[in-house]
Amino acid sequence: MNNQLLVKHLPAAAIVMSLAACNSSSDSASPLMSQAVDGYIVAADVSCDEVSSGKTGAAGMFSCPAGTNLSRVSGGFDVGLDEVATTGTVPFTGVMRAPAGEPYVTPMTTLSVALAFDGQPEDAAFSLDNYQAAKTTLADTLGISLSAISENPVESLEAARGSAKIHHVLAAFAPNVDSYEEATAAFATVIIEEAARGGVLGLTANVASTMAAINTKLNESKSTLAMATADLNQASANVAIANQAVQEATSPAKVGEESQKALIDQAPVTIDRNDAIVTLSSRGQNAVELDIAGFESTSLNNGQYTAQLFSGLTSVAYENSVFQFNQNIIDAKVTVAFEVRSVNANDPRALSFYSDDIMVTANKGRSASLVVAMASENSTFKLRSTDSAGVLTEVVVATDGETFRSDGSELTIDLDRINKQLSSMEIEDILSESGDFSVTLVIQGLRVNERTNNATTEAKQFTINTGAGAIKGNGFRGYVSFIR
Amino acid sequence: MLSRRVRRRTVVGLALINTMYGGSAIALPSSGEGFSIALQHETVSDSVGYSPNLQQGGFAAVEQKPRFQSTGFALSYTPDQLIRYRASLKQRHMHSLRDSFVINELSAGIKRRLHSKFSAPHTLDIGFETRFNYASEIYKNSYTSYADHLITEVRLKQPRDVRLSVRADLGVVLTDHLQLDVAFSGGLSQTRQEEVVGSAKLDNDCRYVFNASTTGGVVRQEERCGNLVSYEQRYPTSQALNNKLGFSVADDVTYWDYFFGPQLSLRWMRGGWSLGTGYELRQYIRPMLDDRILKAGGKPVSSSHSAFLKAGVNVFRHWNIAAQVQYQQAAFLDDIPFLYNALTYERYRNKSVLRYALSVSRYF
Repeated sequence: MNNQLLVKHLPAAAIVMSLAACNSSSDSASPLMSQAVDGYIVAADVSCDEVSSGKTGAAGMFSCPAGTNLSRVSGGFDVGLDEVATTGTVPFTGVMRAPAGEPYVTPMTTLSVALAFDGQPEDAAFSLDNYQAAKTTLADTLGISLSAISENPVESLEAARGSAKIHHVLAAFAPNVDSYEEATAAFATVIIEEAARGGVLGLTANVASTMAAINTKLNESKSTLAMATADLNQASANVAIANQAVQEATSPAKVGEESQKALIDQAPVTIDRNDAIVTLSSRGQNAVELDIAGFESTSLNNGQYTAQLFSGLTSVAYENSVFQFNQNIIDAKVTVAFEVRSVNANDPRALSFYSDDIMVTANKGRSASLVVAMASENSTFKLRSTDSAGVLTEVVVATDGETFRSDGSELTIDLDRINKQLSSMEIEDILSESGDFSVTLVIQGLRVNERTNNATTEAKQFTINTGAGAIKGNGFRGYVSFIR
Repeated sequence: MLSRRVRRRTVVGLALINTMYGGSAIALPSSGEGFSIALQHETVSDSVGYSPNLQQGGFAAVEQKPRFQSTGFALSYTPDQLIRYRASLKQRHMHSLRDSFVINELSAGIKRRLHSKFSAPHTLDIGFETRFNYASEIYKNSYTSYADHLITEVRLKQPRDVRLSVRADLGVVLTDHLQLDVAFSGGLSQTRQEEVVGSAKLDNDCRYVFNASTTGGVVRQEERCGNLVSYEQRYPTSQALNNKLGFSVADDVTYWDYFFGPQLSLRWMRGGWSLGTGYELRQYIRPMLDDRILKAGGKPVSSSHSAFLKAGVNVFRHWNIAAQVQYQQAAFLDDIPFLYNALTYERYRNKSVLRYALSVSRYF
């Protein structure tokens, strides 16, 4: 068996083996292997019965301990059918669940789990019998064969189509990971009600009525995911186009390509670099304003970058117009990270800080409506500083919520606050000496695309090393020379 | 003239007990071959009210303990009249007001008689000895003000030192029962510690744990302090650690010295009884003494003096019992070089003390 076949068949084989082991009681502790698949979902957080259990690896592989009831996969990257990639460029802003015995965790198993829990008390134990019944309900109501629900979307065209279409519907409502389960629950309720009527829900040409029903449920629960009519119509039209393309795809690979393209096209946020201004403020010097292109240029003039500062950097502000919002985003929890790092390989200086507890709110079509706020009073920042001697400091500090802020015209990163924190701990100001630095802002947790010359493309991705792990997301990387 | 057997037992008994005091008295017998084993115990006149910090806070009830005591055994083998091998293992217990250190010492030596240099009955012996002190951990459970920080406890991990010495002994027989010994010894000590770990409390009441080794270190906040939820600083090199915190394992707990000095002693032996007395001067030169030790009264050049009186008697057929009392003007630290660092120097630097020792030997 070659490697590809091994990857495709390993979870199923492992589960058969573990089930057999259970029967023979010879190896009942064998872990339960699964794959997270929409395309392959890699670098996603895995939990087994709500216990954190690492991340998915290449081909979406993960395992849960024997005896686990439910596995849950959230976030990560959709790498299509790439079986060796362990990271990607298209974020998966969803949450998928399946019984730990299922070989593949997909949007279809996710909906089935939600159906299995429907009508159960919140703390009810997961029931495999309910799950089997839920799969039948899902198959009957969405017009999918029962067997396809448990098949590998990478191999089964029907499974690939079903998973992609469901994900498109859910993603249209849920701009980020945290809101995905809320949309899933609403979708499940709609399916239950439709099944009770003996009807069928459309996912392609007539997906608009399905989405309208979901929107009604969200409205009834006063969810912030509910859309206004015009927005719903626009979103339904987009999903219909995307799902039609998926329906016409002739192989799982083509389904993956169409799905990725749709998710990029319909990202809730678009970065528009045209004409946006970045403002670099420093002590005792007029602020330096330059356009994004100039800031991001790596070309040197007399050995220095276009942006030049002669005293300490106190803030970096990105004009809000750089962000275009394609749908309402209400209190979407995201990770925002910022980094200043020397570009000289022999100079270890770097400063990064991030919070994974930031709420973003913005109204569709209104860049100025962007509000960035810490999720709670207990929110924290993680800081990481490496000074000129290579001394590494990692600090978690409670924040006043003003380090990342948006005042209606700019998204500002307040370095002065960070530097004061570091100074109080006698940590060296890494920008006190000359040097050339990259300045990176990353937002993780929202699907973001990019518009360049009226073409929508995948947004640039950057990675910031935070010590605890790399934060990979969309954003900006500019360059600045500090001259002392 | 003493019989061979009696003379050998007496000399060996005195030699074994003498090794407790830093000297290298593996005296060769005048004659005879064989093997001996000796048990040794030593204590001092200086006692301390030991009252360590308790985990739950406060202090334990005061308990009077000798500041220094040791127990060990020694093996000696003399294959012929020209050479002697010796090895010993000893465990020291050292107490101060809050701390209790347990330190092991392993030593091994060889002594060779140079027959050709002197005519009998005078003798000239040359010896070489190595001593190795080792502790799995030195736990200093007492507050130490260090680099502007209050260190509430500190653990020196795997401290160890090695001392190499050579010694020349000239034995001049004055009468049938009386012998004068003139010796001169010298050597060097080097100490090394793998890492220092501990806890510190700053002025703002934030508590930290630290771990410093010769290759760098880390400081980590123990618990949330104000709005500082966690804090960790890693130092890639010992130099970076020193620059930031004024704390360098390589400089602070690594130490070496030279020493040399004469010893003069007189031995009387008759009918299975023996008496000895003597004086030893040892000069220490510590070229790399830490500044903080200097400020605390340490000197790069120092001397120790000791005078001893010892007596031994052969009992039964193969046994010897020896006792010694010694007046010493020297720091206990001289015996254990790895304590000669900025963290533990202030302990065990008594200058005057009486030391008592008892040795029981068995010959085969």
